[in-house]
Amino acid sequence: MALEQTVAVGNPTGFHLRSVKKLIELVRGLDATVTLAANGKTAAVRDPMRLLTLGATHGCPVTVRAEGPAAAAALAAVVHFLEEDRT
Amino acid sequence: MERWAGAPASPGVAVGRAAVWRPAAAPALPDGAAGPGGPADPARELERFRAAAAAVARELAELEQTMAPRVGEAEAALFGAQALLAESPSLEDGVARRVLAGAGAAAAVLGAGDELAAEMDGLADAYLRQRAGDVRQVAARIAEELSGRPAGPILPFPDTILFAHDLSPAALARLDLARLRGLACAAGGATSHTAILARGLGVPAVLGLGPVVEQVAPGVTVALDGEAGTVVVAPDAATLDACAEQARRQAAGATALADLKDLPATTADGARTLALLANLGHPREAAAALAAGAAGVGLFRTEFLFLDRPDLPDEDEQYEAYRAMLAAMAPRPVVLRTLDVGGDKPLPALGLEPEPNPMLGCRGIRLWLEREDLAVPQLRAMLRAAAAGHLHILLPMVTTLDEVRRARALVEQVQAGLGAAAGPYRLGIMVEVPAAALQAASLAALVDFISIGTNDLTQYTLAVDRQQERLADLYQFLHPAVLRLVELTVAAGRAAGIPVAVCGEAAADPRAIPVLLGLGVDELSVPPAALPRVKALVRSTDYTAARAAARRRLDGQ
Repeated sequence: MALEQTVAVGNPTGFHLRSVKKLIELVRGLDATVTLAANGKTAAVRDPMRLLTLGATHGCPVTVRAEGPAAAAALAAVVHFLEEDRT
Repeated sequence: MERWAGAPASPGVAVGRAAVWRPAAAPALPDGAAGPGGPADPARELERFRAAAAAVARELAELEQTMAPRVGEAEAALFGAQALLAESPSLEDGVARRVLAGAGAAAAVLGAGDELAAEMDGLADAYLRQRAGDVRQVAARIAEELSGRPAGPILPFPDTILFAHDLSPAALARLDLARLRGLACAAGGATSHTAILARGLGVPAVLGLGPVVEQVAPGVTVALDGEAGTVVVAPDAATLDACAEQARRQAAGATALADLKDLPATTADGARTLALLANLGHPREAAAALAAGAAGVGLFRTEFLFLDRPDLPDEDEQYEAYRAMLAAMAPRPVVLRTLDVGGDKPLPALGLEPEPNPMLGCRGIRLWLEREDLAVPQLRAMLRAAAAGHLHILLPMVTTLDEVRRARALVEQVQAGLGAAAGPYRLGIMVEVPAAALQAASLAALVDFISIGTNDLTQYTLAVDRQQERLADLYQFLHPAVLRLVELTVAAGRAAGIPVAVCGEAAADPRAIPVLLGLGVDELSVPPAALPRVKALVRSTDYTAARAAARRRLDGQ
């Protein structure tokens, strides 16, 4: 079952390259497939280039979708990260 | 004489001879097509791409390690970020489509990179548009790897000013800086990663000049001003004189700072000497701290071992890191801060619940005392490492006397468990909660040293979130209320005969340093790169004048 939640990007400098790196490392060990959708585009969390093309700037709504055994944990971690990351 | 304007990317004035770097274009046909084996096999081309991308990712990850001591952690991290891009699934998808259509691996990666970069070019945000440059640089580097061409430009003159369409941070990092005076590129901008690295390396640079850079004649004299963002080709005598004068002033300033390395941080009137220490986040930064003349490490954040991973580091992994840190600085003191996280810094392995108000929540020593699975292995690793150097243990976020008593009891219990394997240590606290400053006299009796964390002390005293841009005017370390708490803490330290350090951003702030000096703090701990500047300021300040300045600030004048 897929879980979904929409959050606004909390980082004042937007969802930038070093944040992308941290996000990928955050979900790497979790048994879940996570995708982000923003500005009408979708990217898998394991794909850094696609994540950048989302163009998710500060305050931009991002829909996080997680599937798999660890979906709940992954969703919570990614949502928290998008809201609180200040890298 | 011809003058071009671009983006001022890295300050400094340079005069030298121009060299133009033009990487050869990748062949459009399969790289192996002309060989005796006939047309290249798409599966083989894709395999070659994968191997080259992995090699480039490895190379960039290594650069992150080797560049950190030269340019700092944050700047070096951009190599790690580019390493990540090299192995993007979407890049591989683009390459796969192209090799199936008959392209060679090198042409395919350039095409796939361009396609992704073009998508970023269309984004509204300027920062994200700049990342298109990172994507193109990574694709170009993989293409180079595939065609076996040399990895970067050659510097023909001892005073080369390098002109290129674009230069990746990795290519810049590999250049011989003794021969490179400046950098001028058609692509890039002030926020590109190449600009960040050029600033970290101290190479003057003007980026975003446009195709005009290709027109420069090799060997011609060029004057480049990285602060103004200008390049003058074949400058006249007056321009050259002005540049020479500016370059002389820069060189004099740099030598003066370098000469300070082995001098004490004594005030101009000789009345007071401070200890200047370094704030570090990773053992590999020790070299930079020593090169800058640090008297020790005043704050070593242990968080790097815990962040960005799904599990907790075990005792041995921590021991290795702490031992490396202590040994590198020995016999100088090293202050290891116990893990300082909470609801504001997500740590997947701890399974922390998000808190409604993380800054007032279970963080620092509050969390650490709650979690023996965290505290005990960390203390065992620290005490075992103590034999390698001079260990100080620092407890963050202290609010009550009881927390310090419990922490000391835990340290003593771990020490007893280790027996002869535990080395000597000192135990100290951070004063960053106003309650701790107000009780400093009682706390000082329980510990061996105190370190004031000015960032949190300021935000807790003034009830201002330092991330809140609208309240930036209210977030003032020099507010009399904050300074009163510093004064109380210093007095408590003096009465107890223990040193008081300042390790927050204020310790490196030129406006705050004379005030801290005047308030009587014993030590300042700052990022390694700020050390020479801080020392120069202390050495040019009179202690009596600093005391008067502190007095005025305390009175709110």
